[in-house]
Amino acid sequence: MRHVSVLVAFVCLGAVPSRAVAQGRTITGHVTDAVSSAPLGRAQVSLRGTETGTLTKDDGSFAITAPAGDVALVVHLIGYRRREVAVPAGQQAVTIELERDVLRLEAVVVTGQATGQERRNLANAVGTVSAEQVNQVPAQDVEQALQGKISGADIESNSGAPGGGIQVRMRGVTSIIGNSQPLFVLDGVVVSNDAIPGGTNFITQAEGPQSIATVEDNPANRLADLNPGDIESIEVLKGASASAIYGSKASNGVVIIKTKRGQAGGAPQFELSQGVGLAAISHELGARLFRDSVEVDSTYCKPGLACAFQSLCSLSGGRCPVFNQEDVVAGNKPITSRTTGSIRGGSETTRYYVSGLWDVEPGIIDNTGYSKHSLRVNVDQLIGSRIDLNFSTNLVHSNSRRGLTNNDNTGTSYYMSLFSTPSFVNLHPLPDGTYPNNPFAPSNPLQTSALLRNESPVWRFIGSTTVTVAAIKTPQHSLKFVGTAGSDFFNQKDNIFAPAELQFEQASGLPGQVILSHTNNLNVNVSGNVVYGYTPASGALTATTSVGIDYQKHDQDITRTAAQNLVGDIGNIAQGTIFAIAEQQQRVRDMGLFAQEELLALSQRLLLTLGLRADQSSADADPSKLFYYPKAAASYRLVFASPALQEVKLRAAFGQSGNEPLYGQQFTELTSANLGGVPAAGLGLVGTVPTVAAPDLHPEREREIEGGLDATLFGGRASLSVTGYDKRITDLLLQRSLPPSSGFQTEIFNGGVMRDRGVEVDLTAVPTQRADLQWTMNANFSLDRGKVLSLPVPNFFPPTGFGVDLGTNYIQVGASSTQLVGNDTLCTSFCKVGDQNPNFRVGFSNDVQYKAAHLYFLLNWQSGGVADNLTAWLYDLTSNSPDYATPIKVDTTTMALGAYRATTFPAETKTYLESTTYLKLRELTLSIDLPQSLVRRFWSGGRYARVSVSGRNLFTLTPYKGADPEVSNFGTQQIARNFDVSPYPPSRSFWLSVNMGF
Amino acid sequence: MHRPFLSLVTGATLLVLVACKDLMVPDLNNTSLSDLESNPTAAKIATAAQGLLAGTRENVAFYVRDLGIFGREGFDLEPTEPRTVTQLMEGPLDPGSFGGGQWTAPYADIRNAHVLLRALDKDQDMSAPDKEAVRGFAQTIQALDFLEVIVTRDSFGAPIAVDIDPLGPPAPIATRAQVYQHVLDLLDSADTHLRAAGSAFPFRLGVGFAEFSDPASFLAVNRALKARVEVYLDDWPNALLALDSSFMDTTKSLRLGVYHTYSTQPKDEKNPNFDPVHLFANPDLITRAQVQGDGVTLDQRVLDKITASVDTPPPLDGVTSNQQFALYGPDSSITLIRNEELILLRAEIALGQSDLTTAAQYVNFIREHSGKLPRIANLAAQTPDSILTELLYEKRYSLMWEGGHSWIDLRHYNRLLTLSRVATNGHFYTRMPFPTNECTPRSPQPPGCASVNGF
Repeated sequence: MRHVSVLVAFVCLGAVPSRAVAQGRTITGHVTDAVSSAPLGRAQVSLRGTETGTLTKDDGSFAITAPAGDVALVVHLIGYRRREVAVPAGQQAVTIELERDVLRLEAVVVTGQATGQERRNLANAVGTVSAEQVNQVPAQDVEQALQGKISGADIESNSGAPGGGIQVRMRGVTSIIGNSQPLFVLDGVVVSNDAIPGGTNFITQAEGPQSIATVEDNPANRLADLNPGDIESIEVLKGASASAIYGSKASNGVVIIKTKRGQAGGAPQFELSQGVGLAAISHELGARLFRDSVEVDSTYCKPGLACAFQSLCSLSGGRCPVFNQEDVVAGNKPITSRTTGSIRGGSETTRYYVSGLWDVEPGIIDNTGYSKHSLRVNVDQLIGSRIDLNFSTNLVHSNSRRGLTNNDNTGTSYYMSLFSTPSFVNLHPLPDGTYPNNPFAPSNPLQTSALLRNESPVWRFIGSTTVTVAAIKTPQHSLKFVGTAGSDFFNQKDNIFAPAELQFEQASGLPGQVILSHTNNLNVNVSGNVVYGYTPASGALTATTSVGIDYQKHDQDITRTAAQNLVGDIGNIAQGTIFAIAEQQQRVRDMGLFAQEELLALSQRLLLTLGLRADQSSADADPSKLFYYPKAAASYRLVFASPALQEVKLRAAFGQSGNEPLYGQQFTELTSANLGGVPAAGLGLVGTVPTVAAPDLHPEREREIEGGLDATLFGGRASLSVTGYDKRITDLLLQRSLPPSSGFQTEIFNGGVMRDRGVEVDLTAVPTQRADLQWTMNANFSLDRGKVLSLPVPNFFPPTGFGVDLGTNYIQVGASSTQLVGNDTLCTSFCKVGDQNPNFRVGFSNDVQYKAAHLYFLLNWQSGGVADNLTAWLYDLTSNSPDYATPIKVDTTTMALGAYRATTFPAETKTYLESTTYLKLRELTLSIDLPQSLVRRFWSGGRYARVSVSGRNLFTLTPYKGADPEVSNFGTQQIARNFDVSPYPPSRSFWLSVNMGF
Repeated sequence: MHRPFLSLVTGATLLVLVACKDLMVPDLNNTSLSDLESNPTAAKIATAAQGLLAGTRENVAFYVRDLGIFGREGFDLEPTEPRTVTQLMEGPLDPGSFGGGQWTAPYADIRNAHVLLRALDKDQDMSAPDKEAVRGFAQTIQALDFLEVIVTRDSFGAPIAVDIDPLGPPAPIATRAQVYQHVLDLLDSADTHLRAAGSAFPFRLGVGFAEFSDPASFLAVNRALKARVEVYLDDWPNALLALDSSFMDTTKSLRLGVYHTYSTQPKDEKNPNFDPVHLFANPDLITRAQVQGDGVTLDQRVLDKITASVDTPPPLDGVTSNQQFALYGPDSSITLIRNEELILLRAEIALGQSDLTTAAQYVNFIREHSGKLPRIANLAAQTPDSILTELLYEKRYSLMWEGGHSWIDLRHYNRLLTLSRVATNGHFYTRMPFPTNECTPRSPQPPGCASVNGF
C-alpha cells in the first residue's frame, strides 16, 4: 500500500483545476412523482455543465443558485428516470415531475472494479436485484431471497435445514472439482462463502471413519451471515464475458453486493420492523401402516428364529397401533421472530446508515434452529469536495443448529432410523423419562432429536474502507483514484454432543461423543484503481480508462477434536477418554493487475469495451506465472419512433476468466499415521486417497461469448431482454482416477473441454401505472445445456457419488456434464439413466399496488431434471414405504409394490430416479399501508406503517416423492447434486410483520 | 491532457512493480513425497518403513470381513449399506463398488515400498547392514501385499510391474502363476537381504512384532509366509522347507506370531472389525460345531470367539443372526500369521504328501489344544478325503474371522458348496473382479473387468 499512497499524493498534487462560483439568481422548485404527485425528497438537482447542485428536502422543495441566463437543471433520483428541464432566464420557480424507472434502464451497473455504465448501454446481461426485491418476504439468507429472480442463476437449497446450505450455479456447470461457487464481493471485499462441515461424520460415518467432518455433514454456507435487510443492490455477473475483470476467481460468476448507505438531506429516517412467523414441515414422507401381527410376522420374522415383533401389535384382533414417528420428530410448528431496525441520514459531508437485526427461528425438529444478530454501521465522509471516504462495518453473530441429517452408515441420523422404523413400534419416552431402544434401527429418532445437540455459532466481522479521490473534475477530463482495503474475519465453532444415554451410544461400547471444531478464516484484500475519463469539448464521446491492482489473501485454519467414551454427561471435550484430532489449513495469496478502456460514442448509443487482467496465485504450481484474461464488448442502441417500440439495443460480449486450483491440490502428499505410538508416513494411510498433483497445475479457463438484444417497448412500459451465450471451459481441473495398481488413485491435473450453451429471456412489464393502481410483472426464463467436448483421459467418475449401482455422475465425452449413469437391464455394464440438469426454469412475479394495498407473489417453475431418491430405496428395503404393501401384478404373480421396486434395484438404477420438475410459490406477500393520518396520530413523526402477511415456499407441486426436489446430500456441488439421502425436511414459513418508518 | 496521462503511466508502473512478488506458500498440512524421494535421511526412511506396516494394515480388517462373508463366517448387516449382503453374499460382485475391494490399499503400499527402496538407494546416511534390513523388511511386506491381491483375484491374475510412471499406461496383468512366483521371489530376495542385515532394525516395529522385532527373528516370519504361499500352490516339499525355517513350534503358544495392532490413540486406527452393531457371526458356526468330551460343551473355539448378540436385526434378504464375534475390541490386534496356522499348515503339507499319520497327528494336536475336543482315534486310518474334511473344520474354527482362511481353503479344495448359502439368493465366489478404474484405461478389457456372478 505504500506505493498506493505515493500515487495518491502524486495525483493530488498534480491536479489543481480552477473553478469559478457562478453568481446570479436563485431558482426554487419542487420535485414530484409524475404518477402519484407525491413529493420526492433527496433528489439530486444540478445545473447542467457545472458542479453546482443541491438535494431536495423531504417535501420535495429545493433552491439552487444559477447564473442569470438560460440554464438547464438535471434531476437525478435513484429509481427514477433522469430529467433535464430548461429554465429560461427570468423564470424563478419550477415544478419537476419524475417518472419511475421501472425498467431500471438508468441504473448504473458495474463494468469494472471501479467503473460502471447505465443499464441501457450495458453490453452484458447483468442480473440486478434491488433492495425491495430482496426483502419482499423475510428470508433467512440472501440466496434464498434470490431464488427464482435471476435468469441463468440456478439457486438450490441442499436441504430444509435452518440457517443456509444453498448453492448457486450460474449458466451451467463450469467446474468439476474446482471451486464451484461464485465469487461474492461485498462493498469491495471478497467475502467467504465457505461451507465448513461441522463434524457429524464422526457420528454418522457417512464417508467412513477416517474423517471427522465431510461434505455430507450438511453444512451451512457462510453467505447466510449477511442481513438481507442491509442490501441495497445485488449485481450478478453470470459468466466470463462480464466477469473477466475479476480474473482467475471469476469463472463461476461474480455476485456484487452493495449495502445501504446514508442519505444526505432531510431528516434522518428510522425504520422498524417486527415479524412473527410460523414454520411447518411442507412434506412428510409417511410410513407403511401395518394391519395386524400376521402382516408383521410375515414382514419381519424369519422362520426358525425367535421373533418378538408380533407382540407389538396387541390391540384387539392383533391389530397394530399407529405412531407417526416422523410427525413427532419433524412436526414442530415453531414460532419465529425477526426484529430489524435502521437509521439512515446525514448531511452533505457526513452520511450514515446503521442497522440491527435480531432473528430467532427455531426449526421443525427439536434442538434445531437458526438465530442471527447483526449490527451494521456504514459511514461516508466527504473531505473537501474531492475526497470521499466510505466505511462499512458489519458484526454478525449467528448460530445454526442443524441436528443430524443426511447420509449415514450408523443408522443414527433422524431419517436414517425413521426409514426402517415401522409405525407400530412405540418409541415415546417411558414414564421415567427414558427412551425405549428402537428394535428396528440402531437409534431411536425421538430420543436423538430430544437429546443430541449440534450447534454452530459464528462470530464474524466484515469491514472495508474505500477512498475515492476525484483528482480532476473538468467537463473534459476527470481523474479518479479509488482505493479499497477490507477484511472478512470469522470464527466458526462447531460443537456436537451425543450424550451417552442415546441408544447408539450405548450400543457402541464407547458411549458419549463430543466433536468440537474451530475455524478461523481471514480474507484480506487491497485494491487500487485509477479511472481517467475524457470527453472532448464536442461531447462526441466519453472514454473511460481504468487501471488497477488487486491483492488478496486467504487464510483458513480448521482444528477439530472428537472425543468418545465420555466421563459424565456434561459434554465437555476434556471428558472424553478416546480422542481423534485434525487440522486443515489453507493459505492462498493472489495478485492481479487489470486495465480497461470503455468508449461511449455516437450520442451515447455505442459502447465499446476492451479489458485485460493478469493474475498470479500461490494456488498454481508455479506461483510466479501470470495468466491473462481478456475481454471485449460492444453494444449499440437503435432508436425507433413507433409507439410500440422505442429502442432496441444489440449487444455482444466476449471474455475469459479463470478458476484457480484449491489449496492443497498443487501438492503430492504423504499422510501420517500413528501405529501404536510408532510414527508412520506413507501414501494412502488412515483411509486417505493417494493423489498425484500435476507438475503444471494452473487455473481453469472459461471463454464466454454472449450476445443478445434488449428492447424497450410501449413507451417504457415494458422491456424484453433476450440473451444467448456459449461458454467453453478449457484446462478443467480434473481429478482423474488412475489405475490403482500404480499406488495412486487419482491425479489432479488440467485438461479437457466442456461447453455450456443457453438462452435467457427477461421480461418486465408495467401493465398499469396509475396513481391508485400500479402493476409490475417480471418473468424470466433460462435454459442451459452442458456438454463435455473432450477429455485428455478416458471417461471417468467424478470423486463424489455412491457408485454405479446406486446411480452416479459420469464424465463422458459427448455427454452432458450432469448425466447420471447406472445399471440397466438394457445395457451391459452401465449406461445413462438420467440427467440432473432441468430442461428449463421460469420465474414469474407480480407486484400489484392498489391504493394502500400491496400484493406480491413469485412463482418458480422448473421443468425436468432428476434426483436420485435413495431415501425411498431405503424405505423399500426395510419394507416400510407408505405404499410398500400395495399389491401389483408382475407377469402373473402378485407382489408388494415396494418389494417389486426393491428387487428391480440396483439392476435397474432408474427405479429410484425421480423427476425434479416443480412449481413452487416461493414468495407471497399481502400488505396494507395504514393511512398516514392514523400513523401520525400515534406518532407525529411517523412516515408510514405497513402490516403484511407473507409466506415462503407455501406450496410445491411436484411429482417428486421425496421430501423436496431441491436436495443435495453432498452439499455444494456443481456435479453430484440431487442425491437424496435422508435430508432435513423442507418447511414452509408464514410471517406477520409490521413495518414502520418515521 | 499531459498530467493525467503521466500519473496514469506512473501509477501503472508502480502497480506492476508491486505485483512482481513471490507468492509461494508451503504445504501446511502434510509432508511431501518428493521430499522423501529427493532428500532421504535415516529418520525419514525409518518413518517410511513404519509407514509400510501402517499401509499393509490399512485394508486388513476389510479383507478379514469380506473374505469372512464369502466364506460364510460372518455377516455385515447394515440397514444403510445393504450391499454387504446383496453384493458380497448374493451377487453379482460389482467392479465399481464392493467387487473392486482389496486392491487399492495393497497397491498403495506396494508403491510405498518402491518409494522406500529408491530412497534407500539414494540415501547417504544409513549403514549398509541397516539398508539391508530395511530392504528385507520392505520386500517381505510387499510380498504380503501382493499375496492379498492374488488371493482375491486368483485366476484373473494381477499387475506386477507397477513401479512405473503413475500417469502413464497401466502395468500389464500378469497371470496367477506369475504373481504367485513374484510373491515367492520377493520373499526369497527379502530372505537374502535379512541375512545380510545387522542385529537390529533401524526402525521401530510395534508391539505386534514383539517377538520378531530384529532381522534374525523376522526371517522366521518371512519363511512362515512362504510356507503359507507354497501350500496355496500345492508345492509340498518347498512348503515344508520354508515351514522348517519358520517359527512353528508345538511347544509354544498357539498365539505366538505377528499381529496388526490397533489402538484408540489419536491418529491410530481402532480395529474396524470391532463393530457389534453391524458385524454378526453366522449361527451356522454354532450349529456345525463339534462338542467337547462331555458331549454337551461346544468346541472351545466357539465358546471363546462367539457370543450372543444384543440385538437380532430384521432379516435382510433372509440374513440375520443372534450371534456376534467376541474376537475384537477397539484395540484388539488382527493376526498376520501365527503358530496355530503353521501347525495346521504342517498337517496340510503332510496330507498333501500322503503322510496321513503326520497329518492326523497335527490335526489331533489342534483339536486337543485349541478346541478342547477329544482326539479322533485312528484318524490316520481314514481316507485322505475325510482327513481333509477334519482339517478344514479345524482351520475354519482355529482361524475363524481372522484372515478369510476358510474361504481360501474351501476354494482351494473346491468345497465352497459344503457351506449353506444363508441369503435368499446366496451365491459363492472364487474370485473378485478388478476395480473399474483398473480396467478403464485397458483395451481390450482383460477378463476380470466384468461383474462376477457367483455359483
